[in-house]
Amino acid sequence: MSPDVHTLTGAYALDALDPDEREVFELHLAECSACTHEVAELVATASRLGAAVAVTPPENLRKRVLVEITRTRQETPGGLRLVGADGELGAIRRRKWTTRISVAAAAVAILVAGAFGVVAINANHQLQTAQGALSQAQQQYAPVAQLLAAPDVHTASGTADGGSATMLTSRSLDKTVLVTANMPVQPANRTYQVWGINSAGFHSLGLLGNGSGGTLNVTDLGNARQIGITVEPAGGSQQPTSSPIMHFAVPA
Amino acid sequence: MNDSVRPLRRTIDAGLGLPAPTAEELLVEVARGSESAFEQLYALIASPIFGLVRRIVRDHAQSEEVTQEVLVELWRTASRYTPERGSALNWAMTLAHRRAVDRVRSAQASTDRDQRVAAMSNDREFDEVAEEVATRLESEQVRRCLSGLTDLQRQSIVLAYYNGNTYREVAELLDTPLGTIKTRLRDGLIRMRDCLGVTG
Repeated sequence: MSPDVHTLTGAYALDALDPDEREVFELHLAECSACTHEVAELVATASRLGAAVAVTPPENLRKRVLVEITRTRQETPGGLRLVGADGELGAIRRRKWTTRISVAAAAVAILVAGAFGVVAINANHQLQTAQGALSQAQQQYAPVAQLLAAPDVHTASGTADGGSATMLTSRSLDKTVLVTANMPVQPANRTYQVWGINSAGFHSLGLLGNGSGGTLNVTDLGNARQIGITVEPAGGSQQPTSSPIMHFAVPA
Repeated sequence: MNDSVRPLRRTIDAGLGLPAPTAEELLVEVARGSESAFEQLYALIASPIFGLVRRIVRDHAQSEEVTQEVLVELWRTASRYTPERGSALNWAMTLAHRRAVDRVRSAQASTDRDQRVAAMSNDREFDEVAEEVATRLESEQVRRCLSGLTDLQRQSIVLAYYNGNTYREVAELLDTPLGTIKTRLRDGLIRMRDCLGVTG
């Protein structure tokens, strides 16, 4: 339990994390019982802050709500509960194995889906490629899993056009991985390119292909302050030829 | 976290010598489809929910909308509640905060929000809170505990919780490094926890 990740318990209890960051923190939380206990207490503390500013709502609100519930079907006990779905209350104790597994499964599914995108393109070599895809998925997933378990993992993320990119970095592992999901698919002659940005300018961190998701092992983050993603001609560019569709600060 | 928020119990029928049901007991009834239990629950939790939502959302009509959403969601998902998840009020407030924050974050570009927040003096922000909370015993305790924080702890918590800012926004608004804000949100909240006597 590193103090670095652990400091996020406060921001999490106050709903002060970005959605992607919250997701990653919840993954960490599933593995950290000390964090879970602290978060439960801090969430309860936040509720006290909330209750302290009580104001009686207008009477017509009461009438509307009481009418509305007569028209609203209740969930049955044990009904389908999706992580992050409407009604998720952020309570931690019930994030037991089922939700942990579903979160982990979703993470794997994103990565495997990315890997299998390759399969579709090379349909002629199905078996060979499927094997390749599986081992690629394993290779892709391994560094992410390793990072998620790191006590000092830091995350940052950005979104664009419905897609998102999340960067995980750990100083103790000296490792940084960037994962994208749901990005708009680009034509075959284009590629997503990831850039490190600082006052000196842009330097390429690698290519993510033209598909909707991918994983990039960042080997040379250098002294980048910001991460930018641009769409470039296939093969990548020396310097960006378009403005970034997404940028965000490098994790602290 | 069962005693994190004191059990709410209506006292109007105290003369009968029968304790009125707690919010937790009512929620169990609500999960079984009892509309009358929901009506009693409404009397206990609507004001805390509306007060918090209004602080974050500000706009009165939108605050009513979000409050209605939250209350109907509590009705819809009541079967998910179990006492080990903490008090019913705790459960409701967590949902209310999340929904209010969703509303302001999706409704406004971050620049608008930054401007809105930047235009407000943090001191005034705190005075407002202090003023609103001064009337009730619970509030008095929260006010006292808030005033026991350092300025940076208090400003960070007020901006994050009562204003719905992310910690990144808080860092920008207070012109303070991200790492410092993360730490102040945590140690400030821990100090509040200890001051309010919240146990896990």
